[in-house]
Amino acid sequence: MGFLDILLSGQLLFAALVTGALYALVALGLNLVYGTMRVLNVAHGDLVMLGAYAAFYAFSMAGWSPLLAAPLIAAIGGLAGYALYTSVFRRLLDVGALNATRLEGNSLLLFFGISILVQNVAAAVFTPNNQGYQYLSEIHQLGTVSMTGNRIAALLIAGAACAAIAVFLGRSVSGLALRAVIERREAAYVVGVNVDRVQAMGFVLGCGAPALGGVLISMLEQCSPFSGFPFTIAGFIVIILGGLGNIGAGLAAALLLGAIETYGVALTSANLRSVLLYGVFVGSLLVFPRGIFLRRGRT
Amino acid sequence: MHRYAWLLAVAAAVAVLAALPFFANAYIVGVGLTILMWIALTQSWCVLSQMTGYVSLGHVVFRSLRENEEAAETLGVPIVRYKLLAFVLSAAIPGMVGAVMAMRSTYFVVVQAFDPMVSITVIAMAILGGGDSSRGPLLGVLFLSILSELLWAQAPTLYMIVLGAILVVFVLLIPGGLVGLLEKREKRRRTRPDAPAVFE
Repeated sequence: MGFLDILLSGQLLFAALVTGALYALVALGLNLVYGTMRVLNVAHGDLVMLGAYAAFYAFSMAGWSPLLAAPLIAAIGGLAGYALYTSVFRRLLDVGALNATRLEGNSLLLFFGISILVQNVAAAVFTPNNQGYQYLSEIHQLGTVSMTGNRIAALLIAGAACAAIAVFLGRSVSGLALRAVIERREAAYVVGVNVDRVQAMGFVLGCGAPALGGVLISMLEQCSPFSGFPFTIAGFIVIILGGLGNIGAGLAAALLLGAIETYGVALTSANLRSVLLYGVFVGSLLVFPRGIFLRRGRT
Repeated sequence: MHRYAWLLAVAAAVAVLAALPFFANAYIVGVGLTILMWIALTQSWCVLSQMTGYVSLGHVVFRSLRENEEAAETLGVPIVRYKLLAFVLSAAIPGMVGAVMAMRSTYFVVVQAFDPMVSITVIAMAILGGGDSSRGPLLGVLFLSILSELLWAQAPTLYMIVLGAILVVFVLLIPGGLVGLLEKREKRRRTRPDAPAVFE
């Protein structure tokens, strides 16, 4: 295939959209947690992994369709996030109000520990092997593009979930409060935003979204206890590209990253996938340290 | 008396090590000797610097940078140069260690040499030890090396779980690390009225 054929191929466009939508969903959760609490959740990808395992076991043990299990698993993820927030992070953030910079550094180490813990407990419980299942794997033709049913479903659900969260953040009063906390935490507190409730909300969404993402990803590829880490990295690249705490730009950045990954691999080779991803990561940090979609009128 | 407790410990360890060949293999003796040599070196350095009151300039400068960068700059410390030096040292020392590691294992594979586990373990050691003296990392290294030797072969997953749990527990509950715990205990002992005065 020639260079132009690759760029104009509908097949690749579809693949880039699917990857981008999944990255957007996963990164959205990371962004909400970082934005509201300024803690770097390195264990974020492990939530994806846990969601994938939940879907895998729901399918292989109980025979549940992943599409039906998805809302349930997302809700369980959200509840787990709420429990985690009220048990650990509320106390931690109260202490951290005095020295926020120390908390940011400590949270990195803390989540690092949680990540190692979760991965290896998962390896002990689920066995360290790759596991997967077949669901909706029949092929649909649309013009020249052939797509499997599970990829279409993943694209639609991830897109719908992202759109729903974006609408919630953009239109509702709670969403407004959440954006206010992201932009100016102290000012939001002064004008009467219930910061504690907003942070709980951010944590619930920030754990529910990757769990849902994990369910969708489990339909497409095999999962292992260590398959979450690439999604942590992808999430970080997306929020670096889009700007930390900037939700809308994050969605665009996720699609961009999906496109870079898909087209980059198609134009070069699959061996260069990590090089491309980490290259974008380092490059964007060096060149656009505040994100490529920096809003006008802000310094 | 307390200041030279380390020397006594070293002497005791030498005695144990002298007896070791009679009931242990050469590998254990070798590892023991190496550890002992390092402890002896670092401790004799500490004792010497304590006796003479010698503190290196770099030590003071790095410490001042950590405590208060602005204050250090107003006192005329070239902070950029010393930060660069810190970065260079932090790259040079692991490079040196890498050379020694290649010598020990006689071969290396890129994926294995760049294993992120190395970074994780080193960070965990620093967190576990805590403190800002050389004691912290030493304690962390000692503890984790023994733990990994005990668990790595039979239960690698368990070792990783323990490693993660150590990180979580120490960051959340014991941010001062092992050295912090020791210092707290020493302080408590010192504030007791009947305790013998300790020269500081």
